Amino acid sequence: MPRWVKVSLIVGLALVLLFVVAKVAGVGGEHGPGRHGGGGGTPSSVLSEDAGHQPVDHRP
Amino acid sequence: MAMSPGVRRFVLVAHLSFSVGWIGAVLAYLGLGVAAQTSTDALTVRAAWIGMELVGWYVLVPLAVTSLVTGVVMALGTRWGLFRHYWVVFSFALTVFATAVLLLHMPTVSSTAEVAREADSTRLVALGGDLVHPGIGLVVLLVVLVLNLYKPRGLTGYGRRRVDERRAQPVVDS
Repeated sequence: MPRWVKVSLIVGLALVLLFVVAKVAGVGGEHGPGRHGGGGGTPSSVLSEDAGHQPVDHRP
Repeated sequence: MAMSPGVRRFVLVAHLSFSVGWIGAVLAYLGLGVAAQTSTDALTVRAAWIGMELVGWYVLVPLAVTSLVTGVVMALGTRWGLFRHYWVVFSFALTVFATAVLLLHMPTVSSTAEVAREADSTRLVALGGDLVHPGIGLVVLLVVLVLNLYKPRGLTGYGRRRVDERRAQPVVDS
């Protein structure tokens, strides 16, 4: 196996471990639609008082 | 299943267009993310998040999928193969990874864009931007670009077996 492959695999494994540790430790916060305050529905706290229409799905 | 030179060139043009276009689209998306992160103007933040959602679904996702598909076609239709050379295996794995993360991340972007459409000014400015995912995605795509340009040497075990099989085949005199 060439050296660059071995080094790349080691670096990749280290990054995966770092990510797992960060997730377990709770670093980075919630991962998913709720991350920025959204999450399936729209939290009432972020709506202005006079918003009266339903959210529209703009996904294709 | 080797392609004719004309077909190979056409697929290569398509693959390069989609792949390099994907990198450009990520840069555009990052620009919007930076704008959302740094701006103190509520309308700019709202526009940036709506823009990120549209760029994501209508540009990034199609480019990612077509780049992946044309890359597989190029690999299988040329002498490089998909699993014979380490640089191809790495490029394929990283592209699959980047595409998967993009598809899993876009619902979050859509959800946040929906919040941005409805939120008041204070909440909008506090939303921030989306920098981590596109930043890491850009690095991954640049690594794939470097691998594809430099094509570092290294046959996999499967690639070595294919070479040995071809060498073992008797040469037929015409």
